[in-house]
Parts: sequence; C-alpha cells; structure tokens
Amino acid sequence: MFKWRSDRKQAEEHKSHSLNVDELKKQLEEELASCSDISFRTIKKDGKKILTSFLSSLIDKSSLDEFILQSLQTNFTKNMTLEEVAQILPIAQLSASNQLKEIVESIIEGSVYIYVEGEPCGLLANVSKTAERSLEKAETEALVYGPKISFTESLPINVNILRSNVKDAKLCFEDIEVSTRVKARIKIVYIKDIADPNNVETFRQRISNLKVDYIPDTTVLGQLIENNSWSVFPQLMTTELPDRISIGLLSGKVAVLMDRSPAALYGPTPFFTFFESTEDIYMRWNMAFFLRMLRLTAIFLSVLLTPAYVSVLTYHYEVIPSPLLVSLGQSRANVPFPPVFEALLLEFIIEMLREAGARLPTKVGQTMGIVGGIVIGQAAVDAGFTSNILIIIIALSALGSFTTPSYLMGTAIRIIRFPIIIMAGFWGGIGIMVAFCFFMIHLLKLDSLGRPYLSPAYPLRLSDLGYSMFRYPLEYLSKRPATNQPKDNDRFPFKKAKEKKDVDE
Amino acid sequence: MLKVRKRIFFTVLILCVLFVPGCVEQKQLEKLGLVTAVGYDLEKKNVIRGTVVVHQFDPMAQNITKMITTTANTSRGLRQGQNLQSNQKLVTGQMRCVIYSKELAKKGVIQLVDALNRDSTVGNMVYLTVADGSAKEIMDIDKTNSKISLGTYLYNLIKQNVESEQILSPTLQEFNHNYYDIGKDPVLPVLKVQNRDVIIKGLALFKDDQYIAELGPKEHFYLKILSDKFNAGTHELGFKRSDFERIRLKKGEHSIRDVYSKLFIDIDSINSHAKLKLIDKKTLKFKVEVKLDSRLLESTEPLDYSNPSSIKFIEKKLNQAMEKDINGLMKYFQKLDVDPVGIGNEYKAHLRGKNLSKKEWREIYKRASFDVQVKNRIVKTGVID
Amino acid sequence: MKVDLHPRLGLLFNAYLLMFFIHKVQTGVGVVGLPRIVYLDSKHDAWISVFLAGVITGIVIWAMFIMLKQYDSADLYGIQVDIYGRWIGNFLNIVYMIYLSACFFTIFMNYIEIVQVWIFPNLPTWQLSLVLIALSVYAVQGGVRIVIGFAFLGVLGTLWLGAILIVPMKYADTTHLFPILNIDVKHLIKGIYGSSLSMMGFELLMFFYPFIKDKKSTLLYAQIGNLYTTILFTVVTLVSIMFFAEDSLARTIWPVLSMFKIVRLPNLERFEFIAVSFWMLIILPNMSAYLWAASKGFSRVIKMKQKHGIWIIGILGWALAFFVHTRSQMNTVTDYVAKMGFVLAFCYPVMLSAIVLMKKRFMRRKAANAQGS
Repeated sequence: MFKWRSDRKQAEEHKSHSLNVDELKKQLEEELASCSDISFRTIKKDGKKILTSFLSSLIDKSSLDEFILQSLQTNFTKNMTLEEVAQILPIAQLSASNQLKEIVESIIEGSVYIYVEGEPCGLLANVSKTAERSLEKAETEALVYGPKISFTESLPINVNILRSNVKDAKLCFEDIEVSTRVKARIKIVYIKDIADPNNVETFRQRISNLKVDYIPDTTVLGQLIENNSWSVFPQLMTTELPDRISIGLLSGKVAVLMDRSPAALYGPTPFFTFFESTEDIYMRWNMAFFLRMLRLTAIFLSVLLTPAYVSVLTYHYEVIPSPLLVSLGQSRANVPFPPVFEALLLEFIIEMLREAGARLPTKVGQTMGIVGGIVIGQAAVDAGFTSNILIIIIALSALGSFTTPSYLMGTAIRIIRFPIIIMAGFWGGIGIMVAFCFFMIHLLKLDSLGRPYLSPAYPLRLSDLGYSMFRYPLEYLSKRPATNQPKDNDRFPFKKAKEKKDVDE
Repeated sequence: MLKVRKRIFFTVLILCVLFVPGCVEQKQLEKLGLVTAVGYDLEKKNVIRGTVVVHQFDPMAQNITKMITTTANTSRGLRQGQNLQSNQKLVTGQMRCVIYSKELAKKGVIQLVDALNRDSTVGNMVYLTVADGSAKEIMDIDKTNSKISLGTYLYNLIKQNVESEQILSPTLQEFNHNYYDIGKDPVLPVLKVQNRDVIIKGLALFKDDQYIAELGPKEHFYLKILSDKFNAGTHELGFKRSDFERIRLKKGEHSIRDVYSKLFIDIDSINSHAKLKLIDKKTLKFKVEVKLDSRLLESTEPLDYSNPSSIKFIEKKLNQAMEKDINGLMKYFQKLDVDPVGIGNEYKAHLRGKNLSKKEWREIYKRASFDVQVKNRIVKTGVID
Repeated sequence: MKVDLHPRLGLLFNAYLLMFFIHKVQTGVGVVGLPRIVYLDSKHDAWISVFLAGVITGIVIWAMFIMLKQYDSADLYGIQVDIYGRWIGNFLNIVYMIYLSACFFTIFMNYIEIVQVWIFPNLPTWQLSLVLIALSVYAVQGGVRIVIGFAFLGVLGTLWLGAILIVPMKYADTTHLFPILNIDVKHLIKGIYGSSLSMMGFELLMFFYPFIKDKKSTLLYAQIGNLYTTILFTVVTLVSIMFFAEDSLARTIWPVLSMFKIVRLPNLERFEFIAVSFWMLIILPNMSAYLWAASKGFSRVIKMKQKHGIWIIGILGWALAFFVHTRSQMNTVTDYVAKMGFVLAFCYPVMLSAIVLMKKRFMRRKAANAQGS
C-alpha cells in the first residue's frame, strides 16, 4: 500500500524538514523533546547517506533489521528515485512525506522514517510493535453460557474480532479524528444498511467536537459525549464482549472502538438495555424470560426494600400484620438508633465491604466477603447495633443490585437507594413516592444518543418489548428493534417462521 | 456557564427539599405501646371504664403485654388516662379486638364505635365483640396467662371461627354497614371466660346499637345460612327414630343403640344460597328460599345411603326440619323486633319513589310474614356407603 | 400572535398516548370523593349520574374536536384570539390561564389534605406543597413529551389499583342498588353536575392538540380514554354504593380510600396507607399537565418564555398555599374552581365550537361569493 499523505496537511504544520541529514537529525531531536529512545542509523551506500530514524521502544527490531536495513543495504543503488526505493522495501504500510510534524507524529506511533539524502521527501515505514496481551475471558461481564472472548487494549485485534464475528461487506469502520493533545485512534463501527444514519451522525459529531487533552478509555469517551452528565444513570453503555457488540450492530446500534481501551462503547442504549445480558439471547427463551423478570424484580426490590423497612418502622407501624409484629418489634427493641440511621449504617457497611473486596486481590477479596458477611453481620446483631431483619433486607437488596449485568447500572442503583432511604426516613411512604416520582421524571427526561431513555416503555413500542423488557421466542423477533430506528427493519421473513404443518403431515 | 449555574441552583433546591422536612411526628415501632385489645365497661352513669391490653417491646420487661385500666367519660378521655399510666406512647393502629360489656351494649355502643370510625389509624377489620360479663373479666385472663398476648389470641380465636364458617364475621366494617343500613341490624359474637380461657359463647343480636338478645349456636347456623351466601358450616339435626324406620339398615351389629333416644344427623353445608324475595307488597309476604348443597357427615344410626330414594327421603326430612326451625327463628326475630337477616333491605329495594326511615321499617316489620322453603341436596355421604 | 402552532417534529407525540393522557388528567383527587358527592344528590342511582356525566363528557370532547379540526394546528389560546380578536381573545386566554393554575393549586392542596388526614396529621402544608410543586416544575421543564410520558407511566403504574376494587366487592350488598332509577330527574341532573367536576381535565385536549402527531385519530383515542374513565368511575361508584350503608356513604369524605381500608395484602395490613402514598403517582402527572397548559399561556399570550411562566405559577401556588388553613376554606376554594371548571370545561367549549363553525361557514360562503362574483 502506497499512499501519498498530502490531504491532511494543515497550515501550521506546513513545514518541510531540512534536506541535510545532520540538520534533520537535530530537527527531529528537537521536535521529539530530546527523547532518549530516539535512534538514528545512517547507511552509506554508493556515496549516498540514508538516514533511518525511529523510537527504539516502539518498533519491531527484527522487521527493521530484516525488511528495511537489509533491503536497503543489498538493493539500494545510487540513482534510485524515491518510488524505486519504496519498491525495494517489503513493508505493507509505506508513505512519503517531508512534513516535519507529520513525520514526528508517525514516529511516535512507531514508524521508521527513511530519508535518502538529497531527495525532496522521505519514506515512513510502519514497523510498529505495541505491547498487548493475548485474548482472555471477559472479567467484568462474566458469563455462564455463550462466547467468552473479550476485547483487548489493541484496536487492530478488536477490529479483527469484530470483523470475524460479523462477516458482512457492509460492516463499516470509520476513523474519527479527535483534536486532542494525545491523539486518540477512534473508530465508529456500524453496518451501513442497517444502522440509522442519524445515530452515526450523532456519534460522529459529538466525538469530533470534543476538545480534550486526553481520553484514557471509552468509558471516559462515553461520559464526554453523553447529554446529561449530571445524572447517575449511564446513558451509553460500554462492554467488553465482542458478541454483544455484534448483536447490537445487527440490531441497528452503533459502536465506537478506541485504541488502548478494552471496552467498546455503543448506543443508543436505553435504560432497559443495561439489564440485558447476552446470555438472555443464548439461552432458551423461556429461561431467559424468567431470568430477565428475576433481574427486574431484583432491582425493584433492591431499590425499595430498605426504604420500605425504614418507612414502616418509623411511621407506618399500622401496616405490619400481626404475625410479623412480634419478630419485627423484638429485633428492633435492642437497637438504639432510629431505623434510618440503622439502615444507612448497614448500607454503608455493605458498600464498604463491596468496595474493599473490589480493590483487594481476588483471594483476599473472598475472605473479605466472608468476614464482612458473617462476622460483622452477626456481631452487629449481637451487639444490638442492628436488627437481624434489617440484615436480611440489606443482604437481599445488595444481592439484587448485583444481578444487573452492567456494573455501572448496578452502582447507579445502589447509589439511588441512599436518597430514597433518607426520604423514607423523613416522610415514610410519602417520601418514597416523592423519590420514586422524581426518578421517574428524571428517567423520562434522559436520552441516549437523542433517543428516549425509557424506550420501549415510553414511547411505547410493543414490538420492542420482546427484545428489552421481556424475551419472546426467536421466531417472533423478526423485526429489528424500532428503538434504534434501523434502516432495514426485517431480520427474516415473519411468515416463513410462522408456517405450521398439520398433524402428521 | 449559565446552564451550569442553573444546574447547581436546581441541585441545591432539590437538596433543600430533601433536608428541609423532618417535622413529621415519628412513630418508631419499638417506642410505641401497641394497643391490641380494648374493653369497655359501664362504670356508673356517664362514666365508662376502659381496659387496654398493650403490647410492648421492652427487652427488659418480663411480660410482653401490660394491662391498663382507667375510667373516663369518653373513649378519648380513656386514652389520655391510659397514656398517663404507660411509659410508651399508646397507639391504636394495631388494635385487633374491641370488647363491650353486655351491660354497656344494652345501653348502646354507637358513640364508641363512632370514635373508632373517626380515627384514621384504626383499621376497618377490627373485631367487635360483646363480653358475657364485664370486659375487664376477659382482659384479666391476660394477667394469669402471661405467655399469650390477649389481642392476638382474641384475634385468632375469632378469625379462625370466621374462616371455618362457624360465626358471622364481626368486623367494624360489617357492624357499620349493618348499623347504618336501614333494613338490617348488626350481630356480634359473645365472649365468655371458661376455665381461664376465653371462648365464643354465642351471638348477640342488636337492635340498632343496642344489645337485645343472645342466640345459641343452633340458631346461629340458620342465621348464617340466611345472611351469608357462601357456606355455613356444620349442623346437627335431631329426629324421631320412628320416622326413619323405613330406611334403616337392619343388620346384626347395627342393631338399635340405646345411647340416643333420638336420631341425629350431622350435615355440612358445602354451598348454600339464600334468596329473600318480597312476593306481595300489600300483605308483606316474603319468600325465603334456601338452597343447600350438603354433605352428610354422621348419623347416629345406620341408614341406607345407596338407594337414591332413601337419600330423597332424608333430604325431605331435613327440609321439613329446617323449614320449621327457620320459620321459628324468623318469628323470634320479629318478636324481638330485630332484623339481622336484612329483610328491610329487600323491602326497600322494592320501594319506589319514597324514602324509608328506620322507624317506619320497624312498624312494617311487625306485620311481615314469611314463607320458608328449603331445598337440601345431599351431594356426598363420605367415603363409605 | 399566530393562531396556529407548529411545533417541530421531535416534540410531537403519537395520538394513542392521548388515550392514556385523557384518562390520567380526568382521574385525580376527584375520584377519591366522587361516590359521596354524587350520592348526596342522586342517592343510590349515583352510578347512573356518573355514567351519564361520562357520556356528556364524550359529547363535549366531540364538540372540541370539531372546533379544533377547523384549524390546521391551533390551540385554544390561538383560536380565541382568532375568533374574538386580540383584546377580548387574550382576556379570555388569561381567564383560562387563571383557571388552569387554580386547578393545579386545588389538585395538590386536596392531596395534601388527604395526606394530613390519613397519614401525617402534623405534616406542614408548605413542605409537601414545595416538594410537589418542585417535582411538577421539574417535569414540565422537560416539555410536552415528558408531561405526556409521565401521564402514560402514571396510568401504567396505577392500573393495578383498579383490581383492588374486587376486595370490597366481597362485602357488597346488591340490594342497595334497587330499585333502579328511583330518583327524580332533578336530582339525577344534580348528580351529573356533581360528577362532571371529577370528569374535568379533558379540556386540556384543547391545549395539547397542536402537539399530536396524527391529528385525525385524536377523537378516537380521546374518546377511548374518556370511555375508560367513565367505566372506571361508574364501577367505583357502583362498588361504593354497594359497599357502604346508605347513611355512612353520605358521611364518608373519601369513600374510595375508606374502601381500601378493608384490603389486606398477605404481607401488608391496612392498604390505605400505601394507596394514599401511591396516589401521588396519580396526581403528579395531573399537576404537571395543568402546569404545562397554564405556563404555555405565558409564551402564547404574554410575550414571555414558558419556563419563566412555570416558575411564576409554581411560586405563586406555593405562596397561596399559606393562606389556606382549614378544611372549610379548602372546600370553598374547590367549589369555586369546580364552578369555574363547569363553565370553562363543559359549557364554554361547546359554545365556542358553535361559534367557530359558524364563522368558518360564513367565511367559506363569503369566499365562495367572492369567487362567484
């Protein structure tokens, strides 16, 4: 591949380097802020000086030796033009340039600059080698069933995985420039005849409008391009599962990959997407339906159980049925704090345990869980710090919040519990409803890439319910979810799937 | 910039809204004295004596319940007096049972019931009862028997019997309904202390809010059939032995027993349906039609169940006996001038164009006559023939 | 001021949502006391009055639709100016704005009263009103889509409350209903008037109309919403009549909540405590809808931004809450608003639609004449 890179010159970068080798060296050293790892190798052949310059830490030494230096030494002759030089180098990515800025940028990315003295410009040969790990199992989105491969930090590998997952000629990888101090390599991925061009355009526009110095990860990118950054609820989803992205792409979503980030960002992802797991698709529909309902119920309980306890024990003792009254009252009788403080304290302890467990190495983390769960819980009850019924409730709601497949959403749900508990402590049932209504309005106001956040619940899209809230049998999912507004609606002809044979036919 | 400032303003506003409140009175469960049962006695003219059973969660206390008695003019006044005697705030939200002494009930209880209605913390499923003697006597059981909480005990006692269809449900809701209805009178169960235990003795008939008479378990069964459309529990009927001579099994070991001089049959109504109908507006003739699907549980003598005609015969006998009993019961009600069946409601449903007052109905009720028809169908006779 | 309003496409909502919206705005605090209010007039035939009121509401909605159909995409603010000219039209617009704000006020004040009687006797009015107003302001700031969406979710979230009515049915006494149609026409009509006040809310159709995407099916969905409300209200009244004894229904201020008193869920005694809290989800969408319509007037009538209007009405409502202390005061306020509503929601739109029709016909004839000559 030979590409003349002249189209992306800009006025300020319009500075060609010196044609003298020694001066060129100096210029490069200056531009690269005197890096210690910049290396020069000058070859003299047929009375001509050939300068190769590179960052020794970034390049693959063997390919430099083998494909560049050796080829030059053996095949170079005096009267060769630049194009002829390019012919003798067995390198895939070659480009010609004499722009100092561009050359420096390429060197940072791992190219070798080959300059034959006297020529108007030199060659940039990409022999970069980046540190990368091998493909591994997904960690944060653990699965029991289905493909386990996860994205890595390397963009080419990620692209490779996606390409081999979705072998579709219309699969489109679009490079995006972000004008930052540290150049980020970002690719927008979508299937051209499925994805809604509006979604692609929104992504493109929001990313290219960014003016930040550094984007460390797609999660940060997601935060930067969200509409409402004040909300606790994530509006764009990141995942490390390539199959999740492939499924998303085929249902009309748009993904963003970034180099050095092990997660892909994708959207539009309304609220309920965060409760979907890829397992729901791999499992039989009835199991998946059950699991999805279980998850939604768990979330609901997780948010509501502790506030309900607080409000009932602080204000609405009337609603306790007789059989429960004694056990509730007696477990509370020893506790010196009001129920709000009791609940907040215990929630806080659980959060601390979780955080400590997450920060510690796996093995120690497990012990942490046991210590926290059993020892502290038991001791707290014995010491009359909390009632044992609350321990059960808190444990249940913590469990509930962990059923969320998305870690971000799980955390959001754990956080919104606190204001609800406080409101329940102030106003009981009324307080819970105030908080509930607030979150309802808040969710209504949010959007994901300009699409309503609560879709398909509002605006109601009955056909989409089979994808997000419930899970229908596969033959009923013949249409792509309308929430993504796909260009091509049909996944397969519905009629054919519904054809039924008579008995004994 | 402006947008950010507005956001901050809004967040601060929400936080204020979150933290401003806190002036609501808290009722923490463990700091409350939960009144589970209340008893009212008539102390003397103008003064009632109230006894409450209080459930408390004091880990140090020996008993989980405590009894407080005071006297005052009104039930609210009683509450104040009782509060003075309690280390925990007395609340009525967990009240399950109210007991009125017979003496008080004879004078009328509506002023006390009304106070319950007005109080939004008192539920509508509170059971109202009448004590055979004084209410305090029943509440005193609690002292001797410290392991149980009287409120819960009474609640379960009544609930169990209501659920097994032994008595009519005596909730506050039903009392209200029947009291305020022009053509119906309330009934409540009568409690009695026996062997240091509380039992249900019978059923108190009310005329408006005043206790009039007590009904035994037998009549209770019929009343239940007449006023409840579901099922009515078990009932035993006695007959002359000679009546059943025709269908008695005459096998050796089943010879005549001399334990009973009469023949008793126990039936269990699975499904009953009573229909009241005004046939003639002028002569005030009401038709009372009772349809029963019943199960024959026991008979003191071996009868032939395998023959359909003999089953028919038993049915006929049962019908006759029940018709007679029901007729007698209706007459009895009429004599007492109480209407727990709700005949007035039926009359009123046919009264077009004018209003009926309670007084008018009582006058009309005296002149009413009844035509009782019972249709009994024995559907099952148990696992043996 | 332009008569027609052409909001951008992203703001429009589907007509089927109107079905939920109309039902939601009709069902508010009114339904809690509805059976009693109607019972006071038309006794045990109250349910007939309620049903007839629903039918009349349907007719009024039809008249409104006829009127709105004459315009391309206009709301009441525009139509009044078009018919009466700038001065009178805008004066009437301001009357409507006051009425809508007053509705907003009575809704939350009535709810607060319920909360104070049933749950927290010493909850200061200003606190709860502050929270309720803040929430509805927050909702309305999201614009029309949020208001509609909130109403939609509100309906979905409270549908199950209707199923609870099965429990009181167990205690029902059917003889209370007979003889049917025992009341004279005068009382029946009085009952219709009484129940019409609970049916109010559908007049908001005239303000939300420009934001409907497929305007042709407006009438259908609005009628479905009204039908559902009518059926629900009739059933609620029927059940209350059967559930309560004659005199006690007349004495019970909030019969629906009193009926909930006997409901027991397996793990919850005393359902009314949950019901009262949950009622917030019923009244908040209502409040936001009225607040939206009233504040829309600020941008339509007075040249102001709507968001400023939201704040002005909100703060005014909150301040006014300090002046109402007792139940009787609240009753007078509610009565005034109800009377206003009867004129502005029931009578006036029918009259206006007649005027609009006449004017349009007149204009058409004039145009035809001009063409002919």
